[in-house]
Amino acid sequence: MWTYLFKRTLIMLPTLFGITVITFLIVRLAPGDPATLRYGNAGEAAAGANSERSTESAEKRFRERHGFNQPLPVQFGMFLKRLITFDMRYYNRDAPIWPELRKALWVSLWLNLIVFVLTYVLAVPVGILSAAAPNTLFDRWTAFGLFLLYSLPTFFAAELLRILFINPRQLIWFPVVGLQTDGFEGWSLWAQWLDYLHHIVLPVICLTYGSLAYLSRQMRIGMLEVIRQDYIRTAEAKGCSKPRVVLVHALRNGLFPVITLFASQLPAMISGSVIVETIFNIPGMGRFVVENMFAREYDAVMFDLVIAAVLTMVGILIADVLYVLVNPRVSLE
Amino acid sequence: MTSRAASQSQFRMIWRQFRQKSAAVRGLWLIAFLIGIAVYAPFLANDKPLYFRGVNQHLFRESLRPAAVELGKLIEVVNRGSTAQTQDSAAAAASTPAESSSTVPAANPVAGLQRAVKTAGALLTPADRDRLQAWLTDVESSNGGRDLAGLKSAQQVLQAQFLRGSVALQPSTSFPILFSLSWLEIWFMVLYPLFIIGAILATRERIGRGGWLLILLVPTLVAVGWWWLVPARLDRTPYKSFDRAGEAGADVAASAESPATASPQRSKSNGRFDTVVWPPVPYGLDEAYLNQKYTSPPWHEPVERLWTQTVGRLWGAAPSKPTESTETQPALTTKADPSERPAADGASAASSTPGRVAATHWLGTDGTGRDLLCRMIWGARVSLSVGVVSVSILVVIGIIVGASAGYFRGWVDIVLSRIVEIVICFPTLFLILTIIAFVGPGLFNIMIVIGLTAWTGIARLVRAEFLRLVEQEFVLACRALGYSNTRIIFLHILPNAIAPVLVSATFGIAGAILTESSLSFLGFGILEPTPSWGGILNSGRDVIDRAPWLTIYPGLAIFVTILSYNIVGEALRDASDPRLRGSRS
Repeated sequence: MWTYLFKRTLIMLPTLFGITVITFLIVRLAPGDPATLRYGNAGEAAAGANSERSTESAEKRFRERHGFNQPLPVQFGMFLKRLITFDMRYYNRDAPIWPELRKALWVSLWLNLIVFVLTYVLAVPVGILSAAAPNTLFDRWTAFGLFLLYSLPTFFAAELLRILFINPRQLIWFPVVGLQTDGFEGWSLWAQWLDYLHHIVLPVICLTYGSLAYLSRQMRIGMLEVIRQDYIRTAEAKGCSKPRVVLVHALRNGLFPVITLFASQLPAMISGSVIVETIFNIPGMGRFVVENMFAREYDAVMFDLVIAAVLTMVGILIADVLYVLVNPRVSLE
Repeated sequence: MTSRAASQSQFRMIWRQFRQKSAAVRGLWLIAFLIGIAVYAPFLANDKPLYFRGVNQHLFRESLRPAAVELGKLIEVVNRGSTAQTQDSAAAAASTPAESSSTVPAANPVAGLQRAVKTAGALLTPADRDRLQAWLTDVESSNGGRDLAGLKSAQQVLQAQFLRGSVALQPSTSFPILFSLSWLEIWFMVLYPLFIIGAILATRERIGRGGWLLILLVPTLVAVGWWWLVPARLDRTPYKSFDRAGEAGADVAASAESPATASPQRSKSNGRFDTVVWPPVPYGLDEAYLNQKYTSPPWHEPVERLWTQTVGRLWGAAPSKPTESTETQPALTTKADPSERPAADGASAASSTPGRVAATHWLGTDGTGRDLLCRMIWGARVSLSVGVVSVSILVVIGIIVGASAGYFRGWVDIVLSRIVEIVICFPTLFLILTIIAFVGPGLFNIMIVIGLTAWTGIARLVRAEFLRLVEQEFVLACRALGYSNTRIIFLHILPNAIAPVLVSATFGIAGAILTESSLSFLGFGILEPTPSWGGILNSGRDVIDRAPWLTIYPGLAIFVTILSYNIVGEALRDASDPRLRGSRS
């Protein structure tokens, strides 16, 4: 087990390097650099030769200080060094990105953890139920509903919820903006928690339904395939009750497809909630990323991309290990 | 060749399976319908009429205007000639030949003048045409005699009598929309019905290679002819300001006999219709009426009242008056001018429409008073073309990468698989978002970036198929026959691996449309004034409480499109390979 993990990590290293190279190329090969962004507009706005010359020299100094006048390979080396030493910073205000990143990460982590648990808790039973009684009324209608949900774009669903719960209709069941009510600091911890839960209802619905639809469809298909097999018939023949056949005999094998999907769920912590966080104005990773893209904060964006890619890699690794854990027929070697 | 016959029978088999799902067939028709809307958008929503018979003063002026320009050039030449004679010959000789050679031979002013007069004269009644012809003869004789005063008076006559004054035009027939089309649009418009017919014939196995060639050839010939014969022209005629024949102030021809009495306000009239046929949505893409911004669809208010009275009350919503939403408007309208208030319903909007077109905004208007239905019809072009173009790019890349990795194996496979592995690690939407944020928004950027980032699924698929197929005997036979690698890959192995690619491409189109609309929704995608469904949704974000139609209808369009592509993809997958049931890449 541990040797396997060690080997996998070793294999991941070149991929990791490739990820950093691609990230760097995407961001740096686009025209412009932080210096032109920071001083370019100022130079246009400032009138007079004097101020122009001073911004020009400031731009030059800025470039030299951060190494933007160096050739690309050198810049890549500097980027790697900054990445390893965690020295990423905002160029517009010359500050490290960490305080804000930590806050945003914390918000997104909690939100997506709830979404993640909710997705699996709902998707697995729905999949099992519809696979246990295929082609019944329940199965057909859930299949139809899940297919609709699967095709429903997140932003459309979120906007529809906003239409439903926004002011003129006075349906203020759930707030549509932010994560806390103003002035929540003075409340008791319990009240703060309730307030938080109240705020995240709509975002969680939007984040959950898509993966829920996908997962339960996969679950149903996986279960159906297992239920067709001979050993299930044997179990039925020897007199096992239906719940026992489905939950004890079939479930374990039916879980494989759902487990492999774990890999795609993990990076959603960063990338999956871009749209929902923007719509509901949640200060999480998604909005952090979009704001930095609009402001063209090179380091922040590069770091986000690297994190997202690394999370996918870790997700794939975890999925592989879990796959072996539930399926003893496959060994780690 | 055997492989082609095999692939044809393969498609036949897939179709036979596919046909059994009525929902999928309906989805296919829906996609065809949406593409049809996108292709024929100019005929469906336009501010020009489909058919027009009447008097078009604007067109006359536009076609005579070059005459004024050419006359100006003539005067300049004659003027310079006369000054050159009086001035010092040394200085003039140095500058004049050089300058005159740069201006005069570029376009012969007299010929240009004659051409403009001819095209404009064709619109006139015989009497006025003679008048214009007489004027032209005057100009020609003055030019021949280098008579500067004569030319200048001719210029004044042109301005006063023909350009500003009203002249009698004879009614003409035109098809303004048809002749504003580009050759590319014509190509698609001719191809579309032929392609549908071809596809239907193909399902009945009644079309061969020649038929498909003909289907491609006919539109190409028509488009080439169009490009050759129909000049590209921007028709800026304000048809909406035209009068209907017989209405007061419309009778331009009556006063035209005495041009001296033409009053200045009479000259404002641009023309009149005898007969006119407008498209179903008689609004242009950029036709904005600021006094009609956020007009609601005609059925919006009854539905909302019903909602508040039933569901809203049931759910414990406080009874809210629909007028409240318009009361909150002043923040936006700033003026208390009643005309600035958004029109309450479609009927009053139609009555206040400038021009004589009384039409309802069936889906309401946006923040600058543009018709939403019109923008959605044109937006279909963007959304659907993004899907098709970017998926074509990614399929080509995916096939090339996957085929080389699966066919050549060895280090090629190792390198390519590593690259795929790296690219797969980036979440697609996130990667595209980043690239677009740094490269810049725009339709072509989005198509290319989606195509360049989302190919990994198809590459893996094709690689797996190739790894399986390369082992088989027919490949060995091909090698024994000495076929080249390219030939084996594309003519022999690929047809056997194309079905899963087709399935994946169908889902890919849905994904690309979703990605494009997500980007546009976030403000990174297609920007104003180009209409796109996601962009309209983005513009509706801030006014969602008082203009929900800006969110509902484009969102529904996206939803329905993605849904039908998904249904078709799903049925295709089940039909092509039952083993793949459930997989999506």
